[in-house]
Amino acid sequence: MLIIVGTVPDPNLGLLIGKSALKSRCLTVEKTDIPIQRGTPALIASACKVCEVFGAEQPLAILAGDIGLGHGSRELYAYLTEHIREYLFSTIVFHYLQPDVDWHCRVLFALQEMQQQPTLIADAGFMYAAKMSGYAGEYDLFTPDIGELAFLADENAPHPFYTRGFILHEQNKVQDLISRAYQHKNAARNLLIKGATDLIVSGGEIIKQVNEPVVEALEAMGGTGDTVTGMTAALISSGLGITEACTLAARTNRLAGKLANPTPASQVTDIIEQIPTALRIKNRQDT
Amino acid sequence: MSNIVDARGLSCPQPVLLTVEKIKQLKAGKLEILVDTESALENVKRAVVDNNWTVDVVNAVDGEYNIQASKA
Amino acid sequence: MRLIGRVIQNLKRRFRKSSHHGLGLLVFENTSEVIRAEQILKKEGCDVSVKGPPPELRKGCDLVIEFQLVEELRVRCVLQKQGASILDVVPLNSELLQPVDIFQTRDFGDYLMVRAANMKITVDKQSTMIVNISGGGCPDVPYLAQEMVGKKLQDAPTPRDIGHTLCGYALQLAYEEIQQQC
Repeated sequence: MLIIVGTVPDPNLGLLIGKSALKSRCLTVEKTDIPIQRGTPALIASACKVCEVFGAEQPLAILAGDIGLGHGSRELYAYLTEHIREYLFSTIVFHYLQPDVDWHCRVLFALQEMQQQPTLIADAGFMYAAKMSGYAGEYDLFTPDIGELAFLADENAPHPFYTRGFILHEQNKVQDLISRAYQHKNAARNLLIKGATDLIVSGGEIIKQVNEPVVEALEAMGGTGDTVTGMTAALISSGLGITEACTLAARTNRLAGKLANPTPASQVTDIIEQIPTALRIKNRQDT
Repeated sequence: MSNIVDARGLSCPQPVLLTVEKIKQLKAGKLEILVDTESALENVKRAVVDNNWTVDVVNAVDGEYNIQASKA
Repeated sequence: MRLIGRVIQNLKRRFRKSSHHGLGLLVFENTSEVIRAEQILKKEGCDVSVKGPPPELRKGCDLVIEFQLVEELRVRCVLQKQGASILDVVPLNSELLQPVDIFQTRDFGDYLMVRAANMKITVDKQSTMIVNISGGGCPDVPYLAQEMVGKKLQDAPTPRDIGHTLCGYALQLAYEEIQQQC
């Protein structure tokens, strides 16, 4: 089973835990409807689509309402520290949470006490906290975009807001950024770097690249990075290896994007709708 | 209804998708899946088990794999 | 005494003798208070800038205000009048982390996108309607997107007013930049 942890921009939500269900562009978690505009709901919705196609169990969502003040995130962190070991799951993805090094470590240590170690995936705020904590290497997968890769590469930056200028300028030299991130132990064992070319990295080496089809509008659209992460997590949980899952998710996101024919003003639900069709498109063997 | 899924020459995720679709159609009985890469073999085996079927036998010949699965 | 109080005490002791740059930092309980305080102080003409706190003060999503120590009294008065409460004031002479000040612009023809740090804002050039907000990792990002997307630049609430985190602040920088370009 896949567990998805994140926040929803509703200060009145509190803690919400339950199986996800997706019916006609509407996401429900434990009978609560959640709009899928972007963020963690977009990640969940794309994971649901993949699980549906693969005949796998729908993901369990552990969510909190938080608009940036951090109260919801702290409630979530506290719940996870206390209860995560009670769940039976193979994969967990952490998403939009208020970065908090201390709470991150408590959750990580709780996970490390589990007999069966799940696959650990981090993106967004939790990834920032993982890097800041010095425990990036404990994770199986990070899914940064190219700007966040620069943050991982900057050993001094505690948050992408502080990534030093000279490192941001290096975005054309991706391999250098990757090497620097691994050199300072600020990367997970694998990376899926989302960008004009999506890069799949293992142990510091680029092992796969996905750059087709090109759908330029995806860069501007909110949620299109979240859908790649959601699909990757669901594919790993469905049994694919990490490299395969990342490659397939990157390609499927682009295909779904192409099928949706978006503009920079389009919304992510248009892309999510196309995921099952995109998954079924037969492709030539990966390079 | 044929109980054979020939996924040779197809890349990920087609072998798994075809297997899962066939499993849903059959609901129970015996199924034979043909693949020609190791990763497809591993993915299909996992998909079979995840869908509560059993992998009975795997025969490997000249880089191709014949997976026999069943559910009572 | 709370942990943060002890850390600040240690910092004060360490820097009291060696401070010679005449700079101090204002520490607040959380990032959203820093964002409000900066706005208040700049409006009153105070020479302040936001920076990253020294390592001892970092929790996760952190911002402090760097100011001229000679203005301490004025700064305290201004903030007190507006009801903003400072956690503490620390004299400082070490280099603090600078916020990102590099913008990347991408022109999509009918749409313009500006990126600051990890945040992107996309606007319809003709109508100046905000069509998308993306990036970031802090929980106020989806909230900011929810409140701003679909509104014109001049009508939307600003990230500074409703944001609470560094990602929100980065969006503010992108928002100001795109206003200049539109």
